[in-house]
Amino acid sequence: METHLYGVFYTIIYVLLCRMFIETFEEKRNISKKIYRDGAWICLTVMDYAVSVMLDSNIVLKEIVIMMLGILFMWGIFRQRITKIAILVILYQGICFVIDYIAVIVISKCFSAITIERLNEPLINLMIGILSQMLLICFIMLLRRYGVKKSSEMLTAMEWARFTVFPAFTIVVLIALLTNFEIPKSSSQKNILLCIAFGLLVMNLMVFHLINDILKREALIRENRLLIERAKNETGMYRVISENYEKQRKREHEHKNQMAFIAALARSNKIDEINHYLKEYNEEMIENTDLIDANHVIVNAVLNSKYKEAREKGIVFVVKVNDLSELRIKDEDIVLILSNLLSNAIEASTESNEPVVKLKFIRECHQIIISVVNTLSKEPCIIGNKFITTKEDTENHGIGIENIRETVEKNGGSCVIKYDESSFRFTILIPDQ
Amino acid sequence: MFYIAICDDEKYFRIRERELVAKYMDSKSYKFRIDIYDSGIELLKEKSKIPQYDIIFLDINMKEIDGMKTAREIRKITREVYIVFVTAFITYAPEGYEVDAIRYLLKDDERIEKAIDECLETVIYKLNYVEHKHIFEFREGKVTVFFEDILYVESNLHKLIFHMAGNPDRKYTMYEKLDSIEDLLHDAGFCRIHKSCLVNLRYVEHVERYKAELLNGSSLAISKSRYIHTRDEWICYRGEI
Repeated sequence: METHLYGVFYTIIYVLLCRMFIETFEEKRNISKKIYRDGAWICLTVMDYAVSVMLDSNIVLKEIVIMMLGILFMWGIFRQRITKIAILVILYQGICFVIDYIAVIVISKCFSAITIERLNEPLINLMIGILSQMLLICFIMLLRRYGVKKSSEMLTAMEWARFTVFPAFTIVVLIALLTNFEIPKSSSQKNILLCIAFGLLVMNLMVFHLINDILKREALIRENRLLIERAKNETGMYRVISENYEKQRKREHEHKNQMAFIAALARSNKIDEINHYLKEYNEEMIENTDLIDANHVIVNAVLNSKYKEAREKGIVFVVKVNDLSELRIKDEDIVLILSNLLSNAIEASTESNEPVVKLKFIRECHQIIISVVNTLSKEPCIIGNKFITTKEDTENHGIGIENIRETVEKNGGSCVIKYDESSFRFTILIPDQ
Repeated sequence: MFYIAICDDEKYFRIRERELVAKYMDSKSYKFRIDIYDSGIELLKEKSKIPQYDIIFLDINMKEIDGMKTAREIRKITREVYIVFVTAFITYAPEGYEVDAIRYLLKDDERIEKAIDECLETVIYKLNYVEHKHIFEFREGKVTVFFEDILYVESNLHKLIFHMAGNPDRKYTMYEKLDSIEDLLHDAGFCRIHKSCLVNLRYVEHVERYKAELLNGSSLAISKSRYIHTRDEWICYRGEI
């Protein structure tokens, strides 16, 4: 009875690991309902166990049948090409063998307490099985970390190092259990030993899944924040554009009145008043008109609003643009890139002694070059491997830069960031064909 | 000693610009001389003086010939002088790039002082600290080479070959290590793309895995280990302001 129980446990973990292994490479296509998939998992486990009990005497046949079952079910669950799934399942089986073999060799060579004869004792046999499954878990973790980069790449090196304490400690404990204990006589002692071993194994799996879930959620939250930030940018820009339009309409309307007024003054020969009036009018014009024209409505709207902002804050704003009328990047991407870059630059440079923001936005040889340089008051710091802030509150920083980076990469371009203690330079190149 | 020319047909701005430039130069205790011209024609009459200037401030909106045309004429005479446009609007004028103006300053009375300061600081930094040419002792003899005329430098069997821009047959050779030439040329916008090749980024049109295409149509190999570095350097070079 107990042997059956442990056998079932063993099979469950075998199937779970196989699933983790395949998930490392393939996304599940959620076509069938969750309940069917769960049913399929249970079905596979039961059949695997039944096969391994019935065909215990014929190992080759057993393994072949188990692999066939694995391929069939995984194909049904993952809905990927059957050849791919077959390769992965066979690969998994191969890795299982190799790791089993390694576990047995290591144990029997390194620890004299375990002899070949004792390997056949059911307890030792099971313990080695658990050990090799533990090694397999480690292998899959390493694979996810260093081979196929997935969510675990979001862990920093330090967090990863802390996490590896779990599997490493488990392996040490398993080996210690195997080598340092006499085989207990009573079956209840045996059971406790096996429960501890299985418990450790399951705990590792749980922790691994827990961390993956947390990371997934974190990625989701981050994505949401990016989206919100993006939406804010866009609405801001649309507001500026519509305000501009409104202002222009008003000005047009006033224009008539002003001309009538000047005509009246002229009729009564009041030259001084006309001059005075015109001077005032000119000053107002400069205040309200767009000073920068790159032949692109959206670029102009962003540049002029940012220029005014910089001017009000006493920042020297250096601009180099050429004819951007034929840009093929989407308007919302331009708004996102430009307004984020310039807002960051303006914000960071205000604190410096001689605030300067320089912008180059040109299109030449079918490439778009956007470059923003600003002065800094202190060297920015890097958080994790994400950029970058000069501020205390790190929660919301780096979002702008990540948004820019994502948008640039979506358009097939690349970004380069360079900085020292007094200046920050962000350069973007996007092919425009 | 810095020679500066200011060319503007509005008296008010002529005087204001001179005042601000002088103020900045005095504050840094640089020696300088400022010449004033009230039109492009006046300036272009002084053909022999133009190459002596370090900086020329040019109003874009001038009667008769405008700032752009004047700049183009100036470029026919010399390409070394820094041209600064002073204008009421910054527009996308396509010619602006041909004449390689370093700055566009807005005639915005409140802000122009700071803008002139920044502009002079940039230009003077480039004049004082960035080398443009060097006398090399080639096997073919002593030659003064402007860095911007070098297309790329290639090392081949302990020998360096300088490929020059413009004429594909113009090459110079010398016995020297590429490392030492790299030190000399690094700040002039050159990048080591391969252990045996140092290229002038000015002539690189496109960078991809693992080659650099030059403006003259030829292409050079980039080594895998230097690819990311090369791409980033090239992008930064293109973004120079």
